[in-house]
Order: sequence, then structure tokens, then C-alpha cells
Amino acid sequence: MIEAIASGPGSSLSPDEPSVRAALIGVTKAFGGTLAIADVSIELRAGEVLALLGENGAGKSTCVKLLAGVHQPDLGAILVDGQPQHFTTPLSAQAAGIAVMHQHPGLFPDLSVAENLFIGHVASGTPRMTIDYAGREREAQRLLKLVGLDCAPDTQLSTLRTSEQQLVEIARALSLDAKVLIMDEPTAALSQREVERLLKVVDELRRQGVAMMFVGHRMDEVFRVADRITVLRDGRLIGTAKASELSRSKAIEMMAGREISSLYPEHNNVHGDTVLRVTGLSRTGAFNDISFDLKAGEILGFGGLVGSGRTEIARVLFGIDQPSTGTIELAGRPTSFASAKDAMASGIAYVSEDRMGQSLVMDFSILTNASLTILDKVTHGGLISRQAELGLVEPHLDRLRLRYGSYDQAVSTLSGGNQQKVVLSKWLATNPHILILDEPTQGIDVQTKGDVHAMIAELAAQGLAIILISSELPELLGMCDRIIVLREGNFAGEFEGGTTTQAQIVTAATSAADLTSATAARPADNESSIENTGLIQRIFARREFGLVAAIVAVALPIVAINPRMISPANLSALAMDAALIMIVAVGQMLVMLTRSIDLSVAAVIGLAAYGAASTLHVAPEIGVFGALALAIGIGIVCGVVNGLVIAYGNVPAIVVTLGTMTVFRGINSLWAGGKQISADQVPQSWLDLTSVNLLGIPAILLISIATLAAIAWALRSLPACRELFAVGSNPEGAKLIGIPVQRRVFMAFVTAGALAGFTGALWASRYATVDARVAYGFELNVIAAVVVGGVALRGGSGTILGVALGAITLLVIRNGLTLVRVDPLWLQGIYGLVILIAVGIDALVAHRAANARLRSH
Amino acid sequence: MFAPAQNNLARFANWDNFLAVLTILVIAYACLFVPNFLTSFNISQAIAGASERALIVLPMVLLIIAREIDLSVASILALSSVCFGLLIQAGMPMFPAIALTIVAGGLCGAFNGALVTRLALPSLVVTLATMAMFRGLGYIVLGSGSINAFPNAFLDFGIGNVPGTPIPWTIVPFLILAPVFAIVLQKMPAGRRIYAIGGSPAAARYSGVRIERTVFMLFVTSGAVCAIAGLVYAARLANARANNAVGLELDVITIALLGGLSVFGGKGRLTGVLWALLLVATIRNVLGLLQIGGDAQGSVIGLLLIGSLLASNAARQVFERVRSAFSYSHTRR
Amino acid sequence: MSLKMIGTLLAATSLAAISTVAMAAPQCATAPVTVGFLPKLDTDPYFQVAQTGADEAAAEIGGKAIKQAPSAATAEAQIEFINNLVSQQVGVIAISANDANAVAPALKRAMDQGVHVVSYDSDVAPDARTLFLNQAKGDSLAEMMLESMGQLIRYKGDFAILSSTPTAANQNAWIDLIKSKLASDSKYADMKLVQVSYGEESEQVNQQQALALAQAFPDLKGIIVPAGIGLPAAARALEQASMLGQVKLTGLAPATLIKKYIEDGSVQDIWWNVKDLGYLTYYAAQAVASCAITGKEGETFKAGRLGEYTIAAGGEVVLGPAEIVTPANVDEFKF
Repeated sequence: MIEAIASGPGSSLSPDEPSVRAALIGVTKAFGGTLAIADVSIELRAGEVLALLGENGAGKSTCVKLLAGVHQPDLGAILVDGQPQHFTTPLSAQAAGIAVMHQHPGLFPDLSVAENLFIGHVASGTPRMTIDYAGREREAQRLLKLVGLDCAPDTQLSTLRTSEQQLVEIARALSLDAKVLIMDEPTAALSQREVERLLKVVDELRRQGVAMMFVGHRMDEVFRVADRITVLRDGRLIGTAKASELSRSKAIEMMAGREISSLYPEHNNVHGDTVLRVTGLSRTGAFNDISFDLKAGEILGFGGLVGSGRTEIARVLFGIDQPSTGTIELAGRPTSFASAKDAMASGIAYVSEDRMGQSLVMDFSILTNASLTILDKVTHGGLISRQAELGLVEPHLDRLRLRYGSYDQAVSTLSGGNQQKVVLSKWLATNPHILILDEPTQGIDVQTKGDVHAMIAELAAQGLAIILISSELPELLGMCDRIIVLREGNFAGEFEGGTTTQAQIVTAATSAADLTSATAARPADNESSIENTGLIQRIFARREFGLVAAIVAVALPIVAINPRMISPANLSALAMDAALIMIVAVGQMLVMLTRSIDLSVAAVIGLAAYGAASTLHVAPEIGVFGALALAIGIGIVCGVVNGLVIAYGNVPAIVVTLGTMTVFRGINSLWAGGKQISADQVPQSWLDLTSVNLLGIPAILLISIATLAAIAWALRSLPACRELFAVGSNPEGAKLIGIPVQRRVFMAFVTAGALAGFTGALWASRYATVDARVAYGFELNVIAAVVVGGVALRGGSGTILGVALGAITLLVIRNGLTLVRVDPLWLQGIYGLVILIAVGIDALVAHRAANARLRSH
Repeated sequence: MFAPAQNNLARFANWDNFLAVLTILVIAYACLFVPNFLTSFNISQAIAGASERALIVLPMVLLIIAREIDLSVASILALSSVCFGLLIQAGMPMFPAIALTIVAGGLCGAFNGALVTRLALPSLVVTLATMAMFRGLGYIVLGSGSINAFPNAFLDFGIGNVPGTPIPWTIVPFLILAPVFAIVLQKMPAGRRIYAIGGSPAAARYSGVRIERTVFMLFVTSGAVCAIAGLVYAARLANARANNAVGLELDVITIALLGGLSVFGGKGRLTGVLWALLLVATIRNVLGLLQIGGDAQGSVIGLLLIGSLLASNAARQVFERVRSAFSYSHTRR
Repeated sequence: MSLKMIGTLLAATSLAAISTVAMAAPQCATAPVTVGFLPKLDTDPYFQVAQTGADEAAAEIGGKAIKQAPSAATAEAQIEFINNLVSQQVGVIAISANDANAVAPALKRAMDQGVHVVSYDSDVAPDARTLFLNQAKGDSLAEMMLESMGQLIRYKGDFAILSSTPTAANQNAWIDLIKSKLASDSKYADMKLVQVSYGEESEQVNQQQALALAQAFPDLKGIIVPAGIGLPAAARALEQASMLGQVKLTGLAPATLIKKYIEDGSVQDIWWNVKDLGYLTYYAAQAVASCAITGKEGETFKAGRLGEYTIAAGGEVVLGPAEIVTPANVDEFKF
């Protein structure tokens, strides 16, 4: 250790103490009633890496979040370069020169790599109003090269693998050129090669004098990269020491509070019969030609890097995924599982690595989580009996020594370790013969780890066959009878538990010598295949092209039957209809980009239309522009109401706009009092606004196109507008990097309201007679146009062109059907069918893209 | 030491009870201050008018808890009433016609369910499309006309009250089904699975819950119940027609959301929704008696929906602060 | 749990408190009663003008005329209001029905509760009302519209009908009469009805449908629009598309709304004095309430300044003959 530090560049053996770049001084932070950290002081020095060690719940991520500006300390201070700081948002931390690599990257799957790198950045120097695409591209390529990610900057992030996405996160932190860099578990998802790369970057940064903090769980990495190590336990600082002067066991002792003599229980029980035999099992894109046996009472370990296919094999064994080839034999009989339930019925249990996402329903209580797998066994006369539940679940919970208040408390209130105990009970209650454990001790405290290991050994002794998937080499070596190592989906070696060394396993997992990986194509291949997809092909794949094709496909036969379709009068009417719906549909798109929805648009159109017409009737002197302004103003007010309640009142958009839809209609009704404003009650100039033609094209269409173009430009060039995409793509991530999410959502709704108001004015001008029923039910047309136009309901993606084409497609279909004299009553049914087809095609295309991605990994 | 009081407060101050109090207050106000409210005729007609909504809200609750939604409920109602009318017109006896109609509704639900589970399409969009499709099918089959000739027993069901009470027959299907749905949701494995699917679909799948099958059955149930609602509607109005009950779906969803269901799924109980149903029906009736018309009634309900959610959010935040202030002195958990 | 019990207790006591209200047959009023007008839709100006007539009549003979209208032109919405009016204990309900059959059960229930029912403008099932106040004789209106169309297109060519909603009783009655007249009368032998479309009482839909008809049927010569909101809308739409001369329009519409089109001869209109319909309905309602008339054919009653009216077959009372609106008399129509 000492040699490594001494010979490493930028070692801190220089005479002067390096300057303290950032520090936490006596910081205390509590959440709700729980104290996260108390009186913790940490110094980050220039050119030095400080590692933060501690079990889960020790307070490491709280320290990270405080420095990142996500939270504010209750007591104590944060200093940067000696100056006390008060970070109100992550953005202010960024501005102070602190960059953070988050553990769960808050990246945006719908945005490109380059956008992900730069979104939310505080621009240094003179901030530009619009986005500099060329400059950004150059910078992006430089950064990607730095971290060793070989892909084009405009690749959509969701097409990258997890490890590659982590590299983007790292690149993003590096792009900030900060003087303080915080790394929160950056290596969790990385392959060994990528970890090496990162450590090289860290060395370079050390040389440059950047102050760094490294939070990690893997002792080897921590001791390798750190200059000094700080240990936290239960929210308190236990001690700080030079890495060279701290031994592993001392560090663990400081973390756990007691001496840990042996972490792993003895197990040398006799093995029984073969319970599971897997032959030639493959799944395209995941793993290839895997064969092994498993005996009762045996603990078989699966080793390998993250992404080597171990979890994928487990998922196939558990029935979640289907294999492409190969056989699975249970107790000598070939079986296949159509679903998890089948696997469970055959006695297999799977403890997932994703505890909060896949193992537990966070809102459920301990009891309901624990009994979820055995619901059919806890009924009495068809109804769930609490007694039966407790009877089947209690023994396991007690055996694991779960610490809890009552069985009915929500699992979200438990610590990671206790949560894992609930998960284990849940699976033990099913009385499995085969237990697959995927990273069972990841992210839990040392004490519980010991409990879990003891239980695993006990289960094996009782005759359970166990597969243990783990990335922690000591755990593999300590617990398993045999270890199978996987590398990029292929079998890379089998080892005996007692006699193998860590080095052997690592070599097998990472050896670059003979990569005969057949199915799993390398990332490089993947990239070239994407680039080779020519321009033509990429255009074809896009939604907009499909819509144009649909429009042509519908229009051509209809024109053949009834040439009136392309008559000037018909086209003019179509154009005007399109103009109206496109404007309001674009507003809806803005809202949907942020993962919201606005059901009140039609009511706003009605209110604005009536308001403008009625005021013009009563006070014609306000003129056309006055009426337009009034209509837009009404729309803005409605949008503000929506935006305030949704963005700041924290009520879901669908609920709010369902309510405001009726409220705005009601106001419209009251205002109108049953009256109509008819054509002769408004000035002719108002009606002319939409009937005027410029060079044969209806003015209203030109106005509409101009509006769309302006918004399209804004969406592409204004940073605030790009952030809308980010907000929809990953709202939590957006918040974390300092995007003012609430303000953006508010802005989206106000804009949508203004556009709806504008549409209302045009509507009143076009249709001349307005009353309280204007645009009734129109919101469904708008949403249909937007959905057909390819805007994703889950937010984050959509184009102006798509929306325009979507609106036109639906209008052309309706117009066409009318012209061929389809009964107007039939139109509704056909409309519905068209929407279904559009959405179905969407799903098909997405499915195929996902499959392609899977195949090329 | 503060814990027991807090727990009691928490138990008391939940959504169901808040709605219950509000409903009782509104009913009391109506009884005392709104003339003509407390008459047998008014009460029975108000209940009858809510019969279809009450029925449809039952499967809708299950769907929303499971993170799905069904916008096509009113269209299935209309289509089933058309179907029933045609069967009667063709001479089929009443009970087989009723059975076939319910099957037809189930088939519509199965169509929805297949699209959502097999093709993995979002239910909002699928049911938005089938909302138009099913009603359109009704138009194609029946045109713009209506069928009014129904067996007398059917019409009596639609008009009459349970003898000796002001309870109309049309609410009886709901009274029978509501406890069934409540028991399934709260006390049976199926209900637990529905909550799991809504709370965390991934965790449900990995726990062996057959998500696709459950969701499919929910849609089929929704379709079948909507068909029953269609029969009730046809009986009540003596009318089978393709444009029956337009706009009903938004009403039903509003009631469900007001009743405490979360749009994100996984939360909410049937009892809250039943109180919301009662509250909305009463408010509409009272407003009508006070000569306040359709759109304005909708506004009041809309304001109630938004206001109640805002208030509950605010209350929860105040609660959190109070609780943290009390227990700050305690150290780690 | 306790709140649930309170709730149930309250419900139980209320139900017990509501002793069975005796179902009464309509009684005879001794003084003028409140008449509840229930038009098809709240935003249709037609019914607002009719209401002014009712108010005029109320000022003359006493009693009260109130109006409650649904926001959607559906039967279900009207049923809610029927029930409300009954609960408010009006003496007579005067309804213009969105759907003749669907509201019948509710009206019968109203009659069981002691409320009289008359219909105006758009009829309901005959056994659900005592009288029907019709603005003009149905077949007379139908014939006039057909005749008007015939004149405009010289009795030869394709024409279409743009009605209001598919369920509207009066429009449907007129359309049926037009169809039968077309089939039976040789005068119209060369005229063909190509399509019936629906404007749904909406300005936007009417405009779109009018244009759609003109585009879908290139040989279309004219459109009959028997819907008040529809005729002006269709005229506007066709004018904008410069098709108004090529496609002629006729129908029933408030004269003031299409005055300019009548004056230049491209549109014909058949109309009547709407205010008088409301006036007549009010008088008839009061007469029914006081049992002065029971709806039998041949009975007579006096309707203020309009004079005496005789009940025709089926309980129908006709306001009077409709007039064709020409540039000469267009100014006489106040609505």
C-alpha cells in the first residue's frame, strides 16, 4: 500500500499541507424524526482523495447530498475555500465549484449523450441565449474520449448499456471542470476495464489539484484510490486516517463497532442429489451456452463482472425471461417456466438484487410484503386470514431477528438490512427447494450481513440448493462450495470454493485473451451498426415519415374516388381546421413533454372564445388586437391556475385539469348566461381575421405555421425549453442537477393556456357564433392528434412536426371518409380505430428497437 | 410518549373519515335548509339517477388501484344497451338477452384487456380509442334511432321502488355488487395482488403475481359491469340508443379520485369512493333543487376535487412538520 | 368505524322520517301556478325568446314562469331537471324534449306526483303529456320546406338535409314527413334526398357538415336545414367557400340571424313568431293546471291576445301557420 501511494503521481508527501478546498464543519442533519448525521467534520484537500467508508445508514450519502446542495445542514457549516456557503439548490453548489458523480445517475434517457452532459449547466463566462450545438459537440467528444466511452455524442442515452450510462454520468461531472469532485459509488455498474480507466482519470485529477471525495463499498478499490479514509458509523465520525496507516480489519472494526473475527460461517455439509441441471442454456443478447449442475445442500456461486449475464440466467431460471435454446431439468425432468408463478410452483425462489424495485412493495407493511408470495396459502374460506398470515410468516421473521415496531409498519421505514430480512422471509415462506440469491448483502450493514450469511449456511445444511450471485469476491470465496465465473455471457471457468484465490476469479472474469463471445457483440460493433444505418434508413424509421405515408395512403384513393378532395375550397377548409387544432395541440405537447396532461384545453378555448366575442360585442372599440390580447390573456390566467396547482400544489395534472375543465366550462356558462354572440353582433374586421387569404392560402394557416415554427425554434435553441424534455424524461434527476422543475412545468402550462386562448380567439373569428358550448369535447381530438403525432405519454419526447402531421392525418382521414360518403355516424368508430393503429405501430416499433438493442449488446 | 396521541390523530385524520364528515354535513344541511330535499320522491330519484355511476365506479376503483384506467366505460354502456335492444327486438326472451348482453360487455372489456396486456399499450390511450370505437359500433349497428319497446318486467324494474321504501330497484344491482367488490379488494388474495400491481408492478411480478392475467380480468370485469349498467340505463330511460351516457366516464373518474384513489395506483379504498359517490350525488341534487344547472354543477364538483386534494396535501405537510418537531429530540431510529 | 355508524344512523332516520308521500293524481289548481319550462338546451336562443313570451303571459294572468335547461342536449340531462322541477313542486312542466321516448318514464312519474305535463316545440310520447303546443303543423312545415327547396332548385336535382341531433323528435318527424312527401307526390319526382347529416346544435359542426355535404356530393343543389342554429351556420360556411349560390339553402331559422342572406335571395326561411309560442304555452299550461282543459280533441281555451285555440287530435295545439320569410316581410320578424 505504502509503495503504491509513494510511487503514485501527486502523492501527498509534499512538505506543505495541501489547501482545504471544501469542508463540512460540525454538520448535523435530521430528516423528519431521524438523525442522519451528527457533528461530522470532513476536509477535502486539493490533489487528494478522501474516501468515505461506512455501512448503509452511516450517513455517507447524506454527506454527499449536503456537499451537492441537495439538502441544507441543520447545524454546522459548509465551507468552500474557507468561505461559508449556503447552498439552496444543487445549482448553487455547482456554481461554487463542486461537481458530483451520483450513485444513481440522474440521466435523461430520451435526450442525447451530449445533452445529458451539458443540460442544466451554469454557463461559464458570458451565458449565451441559445445553444451552441457545434461547440457542444466538440466538447462532448473530448469528454467521451476521456472516460473511454466510444459512441457518437448524439446517440440517444436509452440505447446505451448501464455501464456506459454510468460513464456518461462520470463525463458529466468531469465536464464541470470543478475544483471539488464528489464520487458517490461510481464503480458500482462498471466493468473492471472501466474502473481502471476511472482510476486513471482520478490520478490525473489528483495531479491537477482537484479535491476529491470517494464513497465506496469495495474495500480493494477504496484502499487503492484513497489518500485518506474517513469512517462513519451511525451518523457519527469515528475517525480519519491516512490510507497507508489503516488496515482493512481496523477499518471494518471502525465501521461495525466491534472486531469481526470471521465473516463467513463454516459449512461443510453433505450434498444430496442433483436438483437442477442446466444444459446449453442460451438467451440471445444475454448469455450463451451455460451448463451446470446443482445439488441439494450445495451453495453454488456465480461470479463475474456486472453485466456478465448472471442476473439474466437467474431470471430465466425463475421464469421471468424465456431462454432461446437449452434445457432446464428439475430433479431429472425437463421443465420450462412460462412465468414466475410456474417457477415458484416448482420450488424455485429468487431474491432479486433490486430490493426496492423488485423485491418489495414499498407502500405495503412488513406483513403484507412477507405474505405476498404465499397468498393462496393464507386464506380461510377464500378470505385472507391474518392468523394464517402470521403463522406462516412469523417464524421466518423471528428467525432472522428482524427489528421492527409492528408487523403493520411500512417497509419503507426499515433500514436496508431489515428490509432484506423481510425479503428473505417472504421467499423462505414459500418453502423452496432451490434458492437463488442475487447480491443478497449489497448495501446492507455488516451486522446484518453476518446474519444473512449465517442463515444461508443453515439453509444449505438443511438441504436447500442455493445459487449465490455476488460481486464481492470475499463473499463468493467465503460462502460457496463451487464458483462458476461468467464473462460477457459466456462460461469462463469453474472453481472450488475453498482453494481458489481472488486473483484466479478476477482473471477468469476479465481475461481479454480469448474472447470468443459469440452472441454478445462488443459495444464497438454496436456503434458501427448504428452509424451504418444510413440517413435514409433513419428517416424511414421516424414517426413523421410514417404519418406522411399514412396521409398519402388515405388521400390517394379518396382523390381517385372524389377529386373534390383537392379542390381549393376543400383544401382551404382543411387548412383552417388544421391551423386551429395545431396551435392548441402544440400547447398540449409542451405539457405532455413534462409528463403531465392538460384536459382543460377545450374549456379554455371556449372561455377565451366567448370572452373575446362578448367583449367585442359590448365594447367594439378594443378592436381585433384588443380582442386577441384578451383571449390570450384569459388563456394565460387559466394556464396560471393549472400551473400553480400542479407545479406548486403538488396535485397530479390529470386530476387538476379534470377539475379545471369543469370549472372553466362553468365560468363560461355563467358568463354566457345561455346567450349566444352571433355573427352580426361583432365587427366585420374580427370575422375577417380568419377569412382573409394571402396568395390563396388562408391567413389563419400562415399564422398557425408561424406559431409552430417559433415554438420549434425555441424548443431547439433555448436552454429553458430543452429542460422541458429533461423534466419529462427524469423528473427526479432534473431536480437533482438543479433544473427548476416546478418553474418549467408552470411555464409549460401557462404556454399551453396562452396557445389555447389564442386558438379560442381564432375559433370565435372563424365560426362567428359563439356560446358556452364552444369546443365541447374538443380536448379528446387534441389528445388524439398529439398521440398519433408521436408524443410520448410518459413524457420526454415529441416533435412539433410530429404533432402537426398527427393533426393533419386525423383531419385528412375524417375529411376523406366524409367525401366518400361514409355515414357521418360511423366516423367516430373509425377515428378510434385509427388512434389504436397509430399507437399499436408505435409499440411495435419500440418493441423491435428494444430487441435490436438487446441483440447487439 | 407523544406516539399514542399521534397515532390516534393519524388514524382519525385520514381521507375516508374526512369525506364521511363532509358528506354528513352536506346531507344535514340539505335536510334542514333545502326545501323539498327530504321527500321520498326526491331521494329516490336522486338515488336512481346515480345508479349507473355507482355501478361503474366499482370496477373503475380496482383498475385505478392497479395503475390502469378505462375511459371506454360509457361507450360499453351504450353499446350494451343497443345490443340488448336489438336482441329484444329480434324476439329473444328477456333473461337470455340479459345474459348475452353481459357477455357482450365482457367481450368489449376483453378487447381492451388484450390490447393493454398483450401489446403492452398504455390503457389511457387504448381506452380513449375504444371509447370512440365502441360507441361508433353502436351507431353502425343501430344508426341514430332508438329502441323503446321492452318487456314490462324490465320497465317496471327501471321505474319502480322496492316495495315500502324509497329505494329504487335500479340501485339494487349496485347494492348487491358493492359489498362483493369491497370484500374482494380488502380481504381476498386477488385484492392484495391488485394493490401489489399498483404499488410496484416489478415487485408484484417478481413475487409471482400474474400481472397480465389479473389486469385482463379487471378489464373484462369492467366491461361486464358496464353492460349491467347499460341494462339499468335502458330500463330507467326505456331507451336503447347509441349515444346513451355520453361523458359519464369523466364523472366516474372524478368520483374515484375524490374518493381518495391515487392516480399513481396502489392506494385507496372502496369506502372512501362510496362516500364520494354519495357526496357528489347529494351536491348535484341540492344544486339542481336550487336551480343551478348542469355546467355550474360540474364546476362545483371540479372545485371540490381540486380543493380537497390541495387541502389534503397541505394538511400532510403540516402534519409532517408537527411530527418532526415533536420527535427531533429522539436520536437515531 | 364510528363515523360510518353515524352515517348509517342518519340515513336510517331520514328514511324513516320520509313517510310515504301519497302518490297523487294531478289536482286542480284554484290559482295560477308555477310553470317550469324545460327546453332542449340552455344556449339555444330560440328558447330564450320563447321564454320572453311566457314571461309576458305570466305578467298578464299571474303565476310564475321559470326556466331550467340542461347544458347537454340529451335526455338524461333533462330527466334530472324533470325530477328537480317535481321536487320544487311546480304546477306544470312544459318540456321541449331531446328524446321523445327516453323522457317519458320520468314525465309519467311526474304526473304520478301530481304535476301536469305539457310539451312544446318538440313532442314526447303522447301518454306522457296532456298537451303538445306545436309551432306549426308538422306536415305543413315539412311540406313548406320541401316546397321551398323545390322552388329554389326548380324541382330537379340532389339535395340533403342537415338536421340537429339524431334524437330530436320534432326534426325527425319533419324528416319523415319530407321523405314520405317525396315518395308520394309526383311534383317532387325529380328531386332526390342523398343524405341526412347532423349538426349537433353546434356552430362548428354545422359549418363542417354543410361544407362536407357540398364536397361529398358534387351535384348537390340544395340543403334543407330544419334547425335554428344550423341554417345561419350553413349559410356562413358556404358563403366562405363561395358555394352559396351553387348550393341553395332553406329551412327553419330565426329570421334575424339570416337576414342578410334572405335579402340577397340565396336563402329561404320558414318561420313563425317564436315569442308567441312561449306565450301560448304558458296560457295552455295554466288552463291544464286548473283543469279547464284535459287534452281531449275539441276542447277550447283562450290564450290572451292570441285568441281562442281548439285542441286537435292527439292533444295537439297548433300556434298557427308558418310564414315564408321574404325580403319584403323580413323586418317584421323580431327574432
